[in-house]
Amino acid sequence: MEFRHTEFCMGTVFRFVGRTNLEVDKALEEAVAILHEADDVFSLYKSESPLSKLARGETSVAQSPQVVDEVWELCEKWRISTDGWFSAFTAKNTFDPSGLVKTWAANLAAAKLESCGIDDFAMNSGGDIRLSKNIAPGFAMRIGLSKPITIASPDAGVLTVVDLNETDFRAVASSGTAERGEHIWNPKTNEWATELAQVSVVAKDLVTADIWATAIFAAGNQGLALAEKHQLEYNFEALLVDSDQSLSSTKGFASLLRPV
Amino acid sequence: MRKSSQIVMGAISLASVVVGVELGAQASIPGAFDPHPTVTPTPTPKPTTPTPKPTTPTPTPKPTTPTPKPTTPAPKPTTPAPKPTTPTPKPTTPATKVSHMSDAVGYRFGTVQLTVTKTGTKITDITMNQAGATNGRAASFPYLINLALTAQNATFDTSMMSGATYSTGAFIQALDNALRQF
Repeated sequence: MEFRHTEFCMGTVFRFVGRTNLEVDKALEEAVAILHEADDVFSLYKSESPLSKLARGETSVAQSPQVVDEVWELCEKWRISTDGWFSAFTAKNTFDPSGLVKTWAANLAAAKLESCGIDDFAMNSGGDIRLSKNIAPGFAMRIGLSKPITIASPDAGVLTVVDLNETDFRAVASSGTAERGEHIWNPKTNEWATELAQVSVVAKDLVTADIWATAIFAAGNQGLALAEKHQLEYNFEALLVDSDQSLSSTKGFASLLRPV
Repeated sequence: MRKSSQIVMGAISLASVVVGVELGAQASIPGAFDPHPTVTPTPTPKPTTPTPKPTTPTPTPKPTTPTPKPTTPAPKPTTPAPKPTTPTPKPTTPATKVSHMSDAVGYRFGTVQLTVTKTGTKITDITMNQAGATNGRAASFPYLINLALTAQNATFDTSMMSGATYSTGAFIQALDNALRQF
């Protein structure tokens, strides 16, 4: 039986589409609870969240929920892995892990569904896609990539389609300025990253795809070199759209592309 | 590191610049962009100058004391015509057309409300009752409507698009809401 669920959280939309013979409502409830819990802890838009208190200097990491420390460590790990191109620290040296938290929480939510035996589904977390481990080959394994342009534009549409059938890849994440404006910081110069229009990364897991999409975007003109340096170790492929709309990619990306 | 900023929202009118495909070794992307020649790209506007970097270096050491941060932030089924008593040959009755209006969905850039019309089981029309959006975002709705209508035979699941988020989210929520009423 097919199920579809849309959940609004973290200022964006989380969408589940899949098939199962099991009772799905309770499992979905538990899964989306994970998203809301993460939002309650990490939102910088909720003034009483533990992270907001931390940012205002009212508490310390030690006084915050354990999960804050876990996420801090994870951000540090990724900062080092990306040669410093992913950073959860703002120009004012405050901790803002929102670049990681969405996909980190989405991955936990999807894993919760899988642990309930529901393992043939796709999840869209505000534009970052995660396929479950036993997803049936076919339709949902083809993922549309938006043009790097706001959907408000009449020219908006599908740039291309990546097909993850017969690959190990189970996640696609995109970073860009089209829909949210400039929101990715170049941690090396402390300026907005503007050299690229969009970066899409396919990887085996969602967080890896998201982090590399962000890091490569932040690295701008050095993004492709960064991707090529690390893609074997982290097993990903990247498609970069330049601000003049020219495309470049890591070597394996072309084989994933399909006509729209 | 991620900060939302509306400065350039909607301003990136890359309006379909011809794409110089430079994939690794000149591999071409099947069906990637629709090239619209003759369009000159509008330059991406530069953002406002970012806040200068503080003198403090990389923030790796986890402070035991927190670093201070400034506050940021009705279904109307067309009743089939009553059968005439006389057995005049009637043409096959068309599938029933039913429309439902969604709730108004508020989102970051406006309010979206739409009406879905189904003919039988197929979505045959979507009209926007409210297409609130700033910075010309409303122009995206015809695209989304088209996407929703063609989703019935798309080659990929249209809810699985990587990239766009906000307005799509509101549209999908409104669409879901309307579809649930059938």
